[in-house]
Amino acid sequence: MTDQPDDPWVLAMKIGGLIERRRFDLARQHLATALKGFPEHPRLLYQAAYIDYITDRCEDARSTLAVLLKLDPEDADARELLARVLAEERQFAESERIWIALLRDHPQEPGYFGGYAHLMLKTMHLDKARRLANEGLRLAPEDHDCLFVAALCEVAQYGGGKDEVLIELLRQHPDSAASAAVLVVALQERGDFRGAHRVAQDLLRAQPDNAVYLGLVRELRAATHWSMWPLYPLQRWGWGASAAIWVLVIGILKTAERTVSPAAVNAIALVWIAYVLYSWVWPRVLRKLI
Amino acid sequence: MQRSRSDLERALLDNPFDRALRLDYAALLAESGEPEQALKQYELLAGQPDPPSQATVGAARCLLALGQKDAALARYQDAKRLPGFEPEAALEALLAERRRAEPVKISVIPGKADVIPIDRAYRDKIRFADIAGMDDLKKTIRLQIIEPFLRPGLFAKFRKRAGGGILLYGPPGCGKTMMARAVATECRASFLAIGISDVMSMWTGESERNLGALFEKARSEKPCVLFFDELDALAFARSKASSEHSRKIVNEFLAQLDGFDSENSEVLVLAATNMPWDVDAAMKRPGRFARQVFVPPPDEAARAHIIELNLKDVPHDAVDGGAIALATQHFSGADIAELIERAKELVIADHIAGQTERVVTQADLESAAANLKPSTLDWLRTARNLVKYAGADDTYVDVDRYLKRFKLL
Repeated sequence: MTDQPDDPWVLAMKIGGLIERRRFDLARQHLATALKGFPEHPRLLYQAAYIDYITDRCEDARSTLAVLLKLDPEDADARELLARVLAEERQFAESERIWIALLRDHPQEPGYFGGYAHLMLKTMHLDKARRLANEGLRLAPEDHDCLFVAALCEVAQYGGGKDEVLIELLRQHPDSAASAAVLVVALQERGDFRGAHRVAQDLLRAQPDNAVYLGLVRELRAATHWSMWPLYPLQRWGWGASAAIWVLVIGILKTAERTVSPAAVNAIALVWIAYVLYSWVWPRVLRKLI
Repeated sequence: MQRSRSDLERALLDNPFDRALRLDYAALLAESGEPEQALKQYELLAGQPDPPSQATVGAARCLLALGQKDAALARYQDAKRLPGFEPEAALEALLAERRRAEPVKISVIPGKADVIPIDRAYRDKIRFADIAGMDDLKKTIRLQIIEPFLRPGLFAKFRKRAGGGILLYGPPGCGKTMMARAVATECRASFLAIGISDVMSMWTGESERNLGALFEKARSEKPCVLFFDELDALAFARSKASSEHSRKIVNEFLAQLDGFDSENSEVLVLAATNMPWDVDAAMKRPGRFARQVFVPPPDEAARAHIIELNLKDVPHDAVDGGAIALATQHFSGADIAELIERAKELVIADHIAGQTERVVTQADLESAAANLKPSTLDWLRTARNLVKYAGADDTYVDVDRYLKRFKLL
């Protein structure tokens, strides 16, 4: 392929390089010029829609995809992107309709199983998400999206106790951000907040302007702060730990009523109330301070 | 006793940062005839700060097993710079074979069409003296860049390493490119600048050949400053790159920086980037862009000078540049240019509204400054995330200092 300025595929390749490097503003400028020359070029239109989708301009993405799909209603890339855009806009039923149509037209394409599984995960249909991801993995055992969804389902179901898919994801795609994100969730589930914090820091180092990663690191930083140690059981085992501690304290208070002075019982009750208040207030304050 | 694969996988899940475990796991995968999977594990280790040399050698071995000889050699060269390096017979043999096969080139620039367009218009134009303020930065650059280039003998005498490239990083519009041009002038060297449009041309066609020709051109014009603007576009982190082509360019760039085929002495390689976190980690190793210099937003003296320059041909009253400089903390050069534009607009608006014609006044500038936010704040916030939350290494120590100084941390 020669580098001719009037070759739309060369322009698309350059714009693709800018998108890969997340230089979306510059890519938009180049796209505007390129689309003036080739207003109906499918790749350029797709790229324009993709940038809008990535930068949360879903409405613009949808209108560009409408143009593209009018030119070629069967364009699979455009349909897939439209399904993702619709999911982002919480039009889940419409999005699902497109995924089903894509799978009907391309039943051997693992990526569509992964995409559909993503949607099911987003709408908390864990069982369906897992089955779709497994179907995709049957066709392509290394597929990143399918492994990602299956690993997340595994963590959600077994709480980090069974990690077959996660191990496979980490073997196939050890350096992907999605793998690291699942690892963070798995480590959190195991109560290894320090490990999760370190992995989340790695993610933030790679993309320091990512608000999601920043939030995650801050949350985990708070969770690993020394002042949170008294709350470790609550962090680790959640509501179960909370219920168990309540039962334990009530038991202690009942026993104390019979065995020690009322002043001591009051002191125990006060300590318990302080602990409860601490567990309600302090994590929120700490997250703000950090 | 050697641990089984599933044991290692489970152990790694519990301790994802255990390097020895991951090395064992990668070696096991390589031994089991899975070089591709092993490579991913080695790359993960090699991408971390202070990577073990075994990881980089392992990656080179896997690349060789996958038939990617050039990439394997680039990786192997990389490993040679790391402490604890132990030579690998197969790769040493390949290196020797490659050296024999490619004799030193005198000049291989085939023709104008194959050389990336270069910008030499700025040669001998900007000197350090022309840049107001930024004294600390100029002192650092003089010591770290200019003097080693002009007086290599002195540095050799004190066993101070003088080679390798220098990466200037910082918020956009704060003078990195101008500094690079001034460095070329101070070094009394030719200046070849590669901008984003040149880099974009490399994403299509024969990018590796173009890059090679460019280095060859720089070597043929010794002494020469070869400047890569927006380095992250060319040396984008391979771990983040989705295309094979992007990875290939980085490999070629690494090979060129190492002076694989030719000698890079008297060629000073400078680069600038707004996004140092997107630059491939291997680029920042010794001998490449090991020295990284933070170019902060212009200081007060520099801002006063930039205001003065921007007001040069604008009808204006007596302006207290110092006061405006004080009111424009963290403003980049581009922000100050925008400030002057806004002040002009205020004057024009008054004129259109029927008031008497007047010139730009101190009040216009102050009003414009009050309504403008420095564009560098976004960058500084991102850098803050890196320094404060991401556990960044020493690379960003100057940024840390800057943020602390201005209470932005």
